[in-house]
Amino acid sequence: MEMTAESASLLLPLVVVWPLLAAAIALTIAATIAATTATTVAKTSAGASPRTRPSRRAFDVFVTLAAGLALAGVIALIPPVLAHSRIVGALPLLIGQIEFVADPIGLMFALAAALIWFCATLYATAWLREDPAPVRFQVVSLVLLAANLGVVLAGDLLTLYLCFEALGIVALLLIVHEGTESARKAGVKYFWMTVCGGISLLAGILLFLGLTGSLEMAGAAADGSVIMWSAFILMLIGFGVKAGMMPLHVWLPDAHPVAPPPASALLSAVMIKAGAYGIFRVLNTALTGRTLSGAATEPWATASDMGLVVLWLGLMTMSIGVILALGQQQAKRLLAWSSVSQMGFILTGLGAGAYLGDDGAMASAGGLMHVFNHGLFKGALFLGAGAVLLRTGTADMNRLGGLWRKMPVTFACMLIAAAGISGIPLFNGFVSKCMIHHGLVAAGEHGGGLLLAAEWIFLVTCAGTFACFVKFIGLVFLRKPATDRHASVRDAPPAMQAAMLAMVLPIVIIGVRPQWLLDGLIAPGLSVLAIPVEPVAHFLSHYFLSAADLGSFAGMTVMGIALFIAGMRYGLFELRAPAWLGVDYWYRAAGSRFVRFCRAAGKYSDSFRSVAQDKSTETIKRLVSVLDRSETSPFEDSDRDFERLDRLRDEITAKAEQLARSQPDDLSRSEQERLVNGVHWISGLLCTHMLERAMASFARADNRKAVERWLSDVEERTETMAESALQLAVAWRAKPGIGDDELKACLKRALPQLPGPSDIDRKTADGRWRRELRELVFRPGQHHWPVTESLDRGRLAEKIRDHLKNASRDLGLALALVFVLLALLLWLLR
Amino acid sequence: MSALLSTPLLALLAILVPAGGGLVVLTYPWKRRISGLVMVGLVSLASLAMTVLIARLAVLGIREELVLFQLVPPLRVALRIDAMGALFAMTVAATCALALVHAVGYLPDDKRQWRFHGLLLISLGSMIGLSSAANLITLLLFYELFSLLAYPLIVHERTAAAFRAGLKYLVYILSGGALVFSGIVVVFWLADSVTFLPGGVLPSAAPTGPLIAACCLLVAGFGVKAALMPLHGWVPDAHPAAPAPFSAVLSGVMVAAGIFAILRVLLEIFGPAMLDRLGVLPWLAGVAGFAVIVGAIRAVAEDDLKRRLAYSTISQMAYVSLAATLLNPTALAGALVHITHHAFFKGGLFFCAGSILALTGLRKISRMRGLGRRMPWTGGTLTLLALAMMGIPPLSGFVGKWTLGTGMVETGGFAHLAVILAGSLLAAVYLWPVIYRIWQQPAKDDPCHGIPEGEPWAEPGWMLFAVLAAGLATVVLGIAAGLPGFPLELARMAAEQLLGAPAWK
Amino acid sequence: MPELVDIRPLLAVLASLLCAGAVFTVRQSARWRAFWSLAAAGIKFALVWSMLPGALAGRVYVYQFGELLPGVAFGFRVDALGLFFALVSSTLWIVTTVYALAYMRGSHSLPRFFGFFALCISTTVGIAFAENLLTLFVFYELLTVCTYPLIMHNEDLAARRAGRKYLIYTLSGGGLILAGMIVLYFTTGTLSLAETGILEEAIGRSWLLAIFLLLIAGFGVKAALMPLHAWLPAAMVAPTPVSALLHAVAVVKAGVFGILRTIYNVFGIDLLRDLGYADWLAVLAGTVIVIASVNALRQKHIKARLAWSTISQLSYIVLAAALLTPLAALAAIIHIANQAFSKITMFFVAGAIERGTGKKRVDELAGVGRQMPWTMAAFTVASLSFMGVPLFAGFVTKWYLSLGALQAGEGIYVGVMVISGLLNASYWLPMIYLAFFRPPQTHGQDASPKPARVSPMMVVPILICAAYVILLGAGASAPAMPFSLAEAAVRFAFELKVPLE
Repeated sequence: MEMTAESASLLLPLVVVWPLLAAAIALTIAATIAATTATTVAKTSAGASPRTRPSRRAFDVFVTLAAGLALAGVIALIPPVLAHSRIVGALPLLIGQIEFVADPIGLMFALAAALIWFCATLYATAWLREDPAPVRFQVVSLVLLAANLGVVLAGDLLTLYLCFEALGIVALLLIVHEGTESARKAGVKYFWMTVCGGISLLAGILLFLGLTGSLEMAGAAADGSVIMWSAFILMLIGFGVKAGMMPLHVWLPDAHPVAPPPASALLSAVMIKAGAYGIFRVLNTALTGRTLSGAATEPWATASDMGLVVLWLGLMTMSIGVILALGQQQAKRLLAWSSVSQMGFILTGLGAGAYLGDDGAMASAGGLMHVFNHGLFKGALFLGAGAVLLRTGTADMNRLGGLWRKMPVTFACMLIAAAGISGIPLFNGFVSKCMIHHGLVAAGEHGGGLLLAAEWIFLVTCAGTFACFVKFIGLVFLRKPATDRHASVRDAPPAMQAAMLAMVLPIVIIGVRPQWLLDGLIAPGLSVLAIPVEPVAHFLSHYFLSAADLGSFAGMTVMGIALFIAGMRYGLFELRAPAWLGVDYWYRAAGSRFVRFCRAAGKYSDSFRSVAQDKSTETIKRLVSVLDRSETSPFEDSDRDFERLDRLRDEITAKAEQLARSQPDDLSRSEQERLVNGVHWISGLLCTHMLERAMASFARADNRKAVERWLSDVEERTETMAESALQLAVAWRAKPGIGDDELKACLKRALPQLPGPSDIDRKTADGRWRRELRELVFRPGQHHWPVTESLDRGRLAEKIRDHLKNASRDLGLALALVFVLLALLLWLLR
Repeated sequence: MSALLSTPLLALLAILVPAGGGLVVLTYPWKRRISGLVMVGLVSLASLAMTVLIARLAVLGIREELVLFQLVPPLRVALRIDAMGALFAMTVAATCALALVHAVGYLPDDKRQWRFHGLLLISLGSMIGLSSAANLITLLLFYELFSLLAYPLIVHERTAAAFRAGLKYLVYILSGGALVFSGIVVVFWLADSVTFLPGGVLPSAAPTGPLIAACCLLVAGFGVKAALMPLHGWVPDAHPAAPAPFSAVLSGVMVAAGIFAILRVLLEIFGPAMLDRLGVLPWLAGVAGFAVIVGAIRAVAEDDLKRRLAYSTISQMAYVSLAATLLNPTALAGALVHITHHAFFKGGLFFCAGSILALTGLRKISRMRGLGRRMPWTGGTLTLLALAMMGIPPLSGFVGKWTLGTGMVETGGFAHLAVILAGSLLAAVYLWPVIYRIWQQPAKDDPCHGIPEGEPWAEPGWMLFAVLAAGLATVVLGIAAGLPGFPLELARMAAEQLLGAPAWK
Repeated sequence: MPELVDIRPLLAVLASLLCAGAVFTVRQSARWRAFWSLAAAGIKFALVWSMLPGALAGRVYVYQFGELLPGVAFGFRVDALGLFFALVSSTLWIVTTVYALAYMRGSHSLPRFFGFFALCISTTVGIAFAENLLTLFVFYELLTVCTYPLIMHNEDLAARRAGRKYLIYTLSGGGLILAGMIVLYFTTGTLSLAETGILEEAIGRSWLLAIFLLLIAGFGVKAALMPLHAWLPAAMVAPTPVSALLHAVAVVKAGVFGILRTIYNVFGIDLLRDLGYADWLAVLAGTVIVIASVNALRQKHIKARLAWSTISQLSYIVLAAALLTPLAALAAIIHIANQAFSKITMFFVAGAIERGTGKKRVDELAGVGRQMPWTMAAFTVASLSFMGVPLFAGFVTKWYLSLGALQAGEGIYVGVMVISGLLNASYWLPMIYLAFFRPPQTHGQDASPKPARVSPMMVVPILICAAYVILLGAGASAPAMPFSLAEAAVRFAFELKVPLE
């Protein structure tokens, strides 16, 4: 049945969001399962596992169905997209709204993703039997599916970026799923690469926005401006990190092997394609002169230069990748490195396509098709390696062998997949590689010079790939087993077999009938992008399985086998390059150096801050003390006196105790102690008396000097004080209880005469006011205002007299002062 | 409705209700804890509701002024609500409400908790006052008020370190206030008015020297609060010393209040044209950029979680002033929305730090190994918020970053863009270790602080609630940022009101 | 402006004079003493305030006796500036009396105390209302004399030394004023304060300089203008109400008032502008502000700290007056009230703390905030006012003073304001901090000290003053606030037709 554009545009966001919903549902299912399991365990602690089996299966079935449904959705989108060439759907989210667009190319990526995801999920249901956290794995993988579909169906760069980041960050959970230390290390590296990539991608997108004013992936005027180039470079970095492009590939060979096999399949077969997708979009829609409507508005210069950059990067990636792949012993590491190399193929294709511009359809189509192909066979290979790992418990190719008899189905699948990847005719890899090859040749003709070498690099790499998989199949399956450790190995469980078969089947189909894919999706997609697609049809009709291609294939095969034999014979595969040759080493160094720098900076600035703080406070203190001219205010005197007296008290007590201890020891220990206690007590009493009297008399004392003198006297007489205290104590020991008068007497004996108010005070107390005035005015330094408590004494009569006298005196004196001054004034004025 | 609920009247209410409630909480001798908590909850919820209502009215575009009283003849204490103020008020109310919830779990149940709640409510009121101030004097008034109120909250734990930090805080803030005062005097001398007007109040004929002096005085004065880099000294000491819920407020809102004041001064006292003439903006941009980078670098060096977060606040808040210097509506909208979002995720991070501190007494990141396996919810939210601060979509941190970036490329501020992106990369550098540590396997010798494997600690309800609420807010604000009624809308509107041009066509 | 003869100035002066007599006569009965003091205070208050509307309307009340000298009568003349001063002192007299009645309870020789207390006020009002320099001088010297017994009320060594110092300083200051007056009288033939400036350029620079120096130095003694300030910290030994009244209201303000009169009424703004002496005065005042604050920072005793802060605050007024601009003048006049209310609050608090807890030193303050929360709250208000936080009285001064400085083109003094504000913060906040945030040093026993028992008669005046500090700050422009009067005074001094702003 034919679907209308409207319903399709409704379906489109649904397809993207569905896996998220599915993830949510899966979580709830898992929760209920957990609940029931708990109850059953509670019920019968013994028969728990068989009873939980069916419910566990329900979960597996659901997630598989979910992935399948996504696949169905994508497939259902194909007819309308082919009909309308562009379907637009939107979700109201984030800033403004999230827009999705489905065009054939995107749909091709989506199809690959959904298909492989379905297989991987199915496979995972079997793989995760013994896994501690199967639910987490499946839920995360569903979320990732949503993100991945979002990337390839994104309508604008913002949406693309959002899904891309989500894909990158969430994938971390799959990589560290096993929780081993190596997984953790790989995860850290992956995280950093992703974050840096994401930021540079964001920067690129923002620059693009500044350039064109819109986020539509179409038609930036391809002027060769700096901003444009930097936008391109930044986006290329952003996508290249994910695509495992040299020199940003360092995370890939660590991350893919440590993940569980289904996860490695997903990572290697699908997710890194998101990067390829981005680069394709950048090269062929975003930064070319092309508008969606049609013909080129700009000469090709810039875009093709960019294509050239990508082309060379791709060549570098494929060659280095394959060299390192050859050197691996671990099956999964070998596959991972070959993934790097295969991404190199794809990039080369895309780059050559962009470089050739209007004639680039063949190369681009090759690259795109290789995306699909690589997804299939690399996924299958990882699943197979996983099956081997599951059954034999190792992925070290040196310790495997002769498994073809033990695991026939797996072997068959691996054989097909290997055939596909090493480009044997009638398998899908052959077609895409041929097309890329043709593209390279065309590029060489167009550009000449170094590009002529590109073809040779390509062929050598193909040979390397061939050798690589000869090694893989040979060591794992064919050769005579070194040990019979794996005698009892059975074939993979049915779910895994089904998954692998489901993935290798299309390999053959496409290998035989490539036009289904090429004419079905890729050519329409390219023509939507206004790239003339005649070359593709021409290839299919003329060059497919042509003699020339078969010839070059034969050459490649020979070279590959030679390479394999030489490598095995002379141990070339054991050669290891020094660490500093790899970019990884330098990234690591840069990172640790930076952190160390930050630490040092922090330390220095902290110490600087503390020093500055101390210095400033110190300076302020000094400044204040310099400015401080406040003479000792009258408050301070009494304080100082009191402190001095306090010191005296302690001194006296100490002395007294000393004396008591130095008594002729005719008395017993206890007696001695008692005496000492007595001395303490009594000297305390004495000193308290002294203190009270001293402070009282100081308050009334006239001149400081007397006070000072008295204090110094006391300081000299502490000895006698102590002695008298001791005498008292002795007396007290004889006759407990001591009178106040005794203390007073003792004090009188011991202390000097306390200074009191001077005579002049007593005289002026009732002296005559004239004299006082004279005293006051002419000798102000010595006298104080003569008002005393005597006023408040006596009977009523003298009260009245007193107060009249005082009042008159007080007022009179005041007026007198004024009159004196006035008189002076008048006299002066006369 | 506008007659009954004129926005400034509501603002007055929104100031008085928390302040009065705070006084009651402070003074009333609570017998039963629950009754006091109900009081606190009601007051904070009421003020939150009022700020939300204010925001809605502000969206309607009602802008009238309410003169409370006259300080001295020309100077009035007056309230006025515009979109920026409404947005900030709402942020403040929400953050303080969460902080109060967290504090219920964080503080011991004794007499002094009421002091904390009460003072926090009062300063909430004064911060709402700041956000609805109609002129510079009113702003200074509320600014000084909550700056002084913050002191008892910082030293609430009464440790020697707290007192040292408090002293430092006071010295910095008071000096800042003094600068602000002199700046205001100069402004008034030049313009005969200190009322905020979009486009500025200063006459274009005014002499340049005093103008630049006033600008520097005001920006430096408020910059102390806003932790502009050379003036940030109090931040890394005060945040760790204060109780966690208040560190959240301090870093989420109070620092932002300084930025808010700077924005007011730049846009509504000086005005874009004047600023262009004076050419002070590039310098300010330089300072802010410096703060972004260096603040982040210092954060990397810290091992104490709260100190690290404090430095990251310096870095994050500098985004805002950096964006403001472009005078571009989109960037400004981004800056404003970033203030709000930052309040949530930074506040949430401090809540997490507080919960960890309260449960395990751990401050140092290097010792938090495997903590996430013991406190799954707190750890998970911590991770989420950290990702938000790195600006990972679709969390709220990204919205601010994206809008800022858009505005910057609109006006060709590519250097600014570079700084922002470097800042978020550095944010990853100083936050990743936290995430990594707490999800690492517990060390063999130290089986996660004596707690046997696989038995999650009972994460206390109140604190956990605050943490989860912050996390939820971060997600929702991120995913649904574009919907009407969310901060972005207000921010856009504010930018349009302030700069006269619509943000992002 | 219309002058009309009115008895009220005389009555206002006599009221407290009579009170003094009455207090002396009823020596013993505390009840009557209280009655007379309060009654007189109330009467004077009513009298002075009754003149406010007229003064605002621009009327001037005069009352004269016979001539002392040719052209110099002994008389009263109530203009805005004088009335402002009188308002402040008579208002504060009431609260201070109430406070003193509680504070001095049980002290010795109370009649003397309250008698001279009343005399001080009466002379203060006399100074405020003086029609000419001579009258002002008479009351000024009387004030000196009447203050003396109050200062050495305690009659211990410190009190006596302080009193002696005070007397020496102020009497010599009086001598300088006298000399200045003589020169002035010779040169101009009048001592009247009626116009804005009685001197003119023609007299000759040397004479003008001599007059300026003599008068400023003379009044500067009481205004505690450094380096003539030494008596003020010493005089802190006086009982708290005395310190409060004298150092916040009467004595020092009399000195400052004299300086204002000298600047506005003797020399006149324009002449001083030409002469440029005022700039030096401003520089001096500016330095005093800072140095005195720094010294206050160093004081251990609460009252000593208050005294130094007084020195610094008085220099605000001198500085403002010396800037010779309308806004600055407004600051100068309004600060008479602001400083008075803020400072008296602080003195009251210091006294209340001393009575309630027996603590006199700053470092003993720990925990006082929990013993007497209301009192310390009032203290906080006052110190915020000195820091110049908006809403409090001090801010108004700071604001107008800064504006005035800019008006005079002396931006540096804005900086002085800022620094002084910070210094104020740095010596008030530690006290508040100690009082509220530090637990009291308990010697093992009771963890939470019981609230101190202080008579409400002491607490209520404190709260009233604190409230008024806020009122002055937040409602300065409200009707019937001194602000309007100050504005009128400025208009008169500068002969402005239009009101300010």
